[in-house]
Amino acid sequence: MNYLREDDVEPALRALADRAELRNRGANGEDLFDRVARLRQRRRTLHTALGVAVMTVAAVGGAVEARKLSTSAPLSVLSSNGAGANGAIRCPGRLTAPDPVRPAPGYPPANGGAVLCRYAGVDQGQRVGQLTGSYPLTAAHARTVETELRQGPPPPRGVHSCPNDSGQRLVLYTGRNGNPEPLVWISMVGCRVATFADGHTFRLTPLAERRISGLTARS
Amino acid sequence: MREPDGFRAFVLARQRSLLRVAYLLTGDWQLAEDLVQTVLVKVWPRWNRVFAAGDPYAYVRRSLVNTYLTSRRRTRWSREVLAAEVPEAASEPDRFAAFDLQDMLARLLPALPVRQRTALILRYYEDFTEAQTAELMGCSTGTVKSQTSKALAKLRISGAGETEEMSQ
Repeated sequence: MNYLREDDVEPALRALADRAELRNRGANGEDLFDRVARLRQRRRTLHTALGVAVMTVAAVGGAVEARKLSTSAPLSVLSSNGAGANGAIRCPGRLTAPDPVRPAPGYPPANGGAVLCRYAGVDQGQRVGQLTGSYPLTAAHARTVETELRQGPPPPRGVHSCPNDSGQRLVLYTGRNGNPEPLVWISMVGCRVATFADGHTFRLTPLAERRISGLTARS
Repeated sequence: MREPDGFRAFVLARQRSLLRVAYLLTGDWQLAEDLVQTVLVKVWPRWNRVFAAGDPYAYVRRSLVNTYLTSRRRTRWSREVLAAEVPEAASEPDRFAAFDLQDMLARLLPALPVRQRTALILRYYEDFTEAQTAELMGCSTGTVKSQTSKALAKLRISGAGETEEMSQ
């Protein structure tokens, strides 16, 4: 009787693999590495093509969504008395955060409530930099505003390219652990730009201007 | 497309070992080549990290086993090698073939369930301990023991059955 013993298994497996290797040696003339490289290149090309397709769909979807947002009811403004959408954050009383000249560390994600704060400029009957309006937003709405602001073109170059700037500012704060952190400084006068805490600046698009004006028109 | 440093040399040095293990797992040389290629394509972009971590062969072999087990769960490797078919079977019946352990294993191994076959190959061909095999297969050592025992039992029983038939 020829039973398969435990000691037989390993040499039998090796012999089996030897036989298969001998039988198939040279069956595929191409070197394994070359095949792997070719397969990888093919997948990268496919991923690139898919990525372009996804981005195209997203851009079209984004444009459709932007149109929907602009024609639908305005974003909700819960109150203008400084209470946040979830009561979590309030506008600082003064524009203490300067316009950033360097990217701020710890760029805040919108993980809590958000609030849009207006601060006075010159010749507006109040101290420059004083809080004059507060418009709470949900985090989702803040992200929508952020998205729209980031779609603008680059800012104009040179200080003489822009009309006079009164210094009035709108600052979008997002909440992080209940504390307000500035996300973006918006200037609706002068160069009409939005400057983010990460250092990027974009010119306001007509859609973004309409959005911001709509939000800050309520009091 | 720039290849990562040392990756080509690794493939050249280890392709034989990887193909042999993949063949024993899949039971088919072409499937084995596909499996190894798939794994190497996955490892390619991570090569620098894998190499820096030390023992890249162990990483690639683990990836091979995981990819095989995952793909079997998804039934993508649909080319079952039937136990009754022996690719290298002799054209004429050989009454002594049943006594050839290699032929017996070639017939019976593909018929084993996936996890029993994997445990058997990792324990006996790769000579891993039960703990190492359990880590590779993502199961407990108890499961490795039971899977291996069942595989050996099936081979013994089938082998005994074949030889009994021949002796009658």
